[in-house]
Amino acid sequence: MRALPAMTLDWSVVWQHRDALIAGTATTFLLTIATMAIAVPCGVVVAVLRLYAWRPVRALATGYVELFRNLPLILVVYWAFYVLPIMTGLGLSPLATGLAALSLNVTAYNAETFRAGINSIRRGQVEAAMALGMTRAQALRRVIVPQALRRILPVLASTWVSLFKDTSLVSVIAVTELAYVSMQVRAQTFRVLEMLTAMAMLYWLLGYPQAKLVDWMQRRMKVTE
Amino acid sequence: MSPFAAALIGLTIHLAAYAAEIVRAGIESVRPGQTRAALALGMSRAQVVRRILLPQAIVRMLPAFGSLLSITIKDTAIASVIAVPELMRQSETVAGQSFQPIEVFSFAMLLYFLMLFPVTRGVDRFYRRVAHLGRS
Repeated sequence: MRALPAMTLDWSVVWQHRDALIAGTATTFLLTIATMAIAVPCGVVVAVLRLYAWRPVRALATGYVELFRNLPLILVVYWAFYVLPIMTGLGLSPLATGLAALSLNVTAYNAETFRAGINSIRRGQVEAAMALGMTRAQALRRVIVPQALRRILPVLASTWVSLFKDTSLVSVIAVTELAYVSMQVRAQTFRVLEMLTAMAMLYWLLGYPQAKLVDWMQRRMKVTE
Repeated sequence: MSPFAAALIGLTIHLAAYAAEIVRAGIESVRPGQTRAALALGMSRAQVVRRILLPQAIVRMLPAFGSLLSITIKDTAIASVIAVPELMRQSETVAGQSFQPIEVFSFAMLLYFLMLFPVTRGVDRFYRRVAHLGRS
């Protein structure tokens, strides 16, 4: 490792590269938003398959969730980087590859969140709704989902915050998000300490308000049946 | 500092924050009325913690510590970015040398899954056996 330049810190390097850092931050947010936009609907589908589908399909959905919840995200990122281009025959950009890896991972977590949310509503409520003449679909739509949503939303929100931090892992396949940009500036300027500190501060400043919002949502949406 | 030591310190700092939250939430989950009742019966604060709070709180912390354990195993893969020769890093090396990244990374996936799945399942099963001890 290169010795630090006599411990003289030069913070101007952060300001000089502000445009790159802002663009990186924008990509980080884009990745977070796009991943959630994909992983929420896909998570709903997987959860519903796991709960109500034909048995072999159910097993398949369960297998998917268990597999991706038990794999390190960084490995999924590498795997997607090498396997996706061959499987799809397309030359995917690093951004698309990173998005796919994150989506595979978060979909599994979201599916588990939805399943737990639906299961948390007592059976008696569906039975009561069906006794009143509702169909199963009606009972699901009118009775289960409105209550389950209040339990699901806070969990989705904390998944969001984890995801926001986890997007930094796609820097290993050269997606130009905040972590990758900071590392690049670090490599060009040799200002290791400054850039790593700036990166940490940026992630913290952006992440902390989101985490506080999640805490507030969790207090606000507490459900008592 | 060796990459191993750096990774160890980094992961420890990161995960200790999560562990602290789990302990806090576990202790706060025991109703304050129980502490007051125990104090009213003449227990010292240390006795309250040892006999009333911890026995219930520790059982309630178990599922969270279980998932923290599997998160820890998964997060060790991140140590590969500073060249700690763990499974992830070795896979990258082998993939680079053999020019067969798909086979190598798929095999690494299998290995991680085989490590983690029994852990998550085992923790679940253990918790189900002791869950009744945490009820109040």
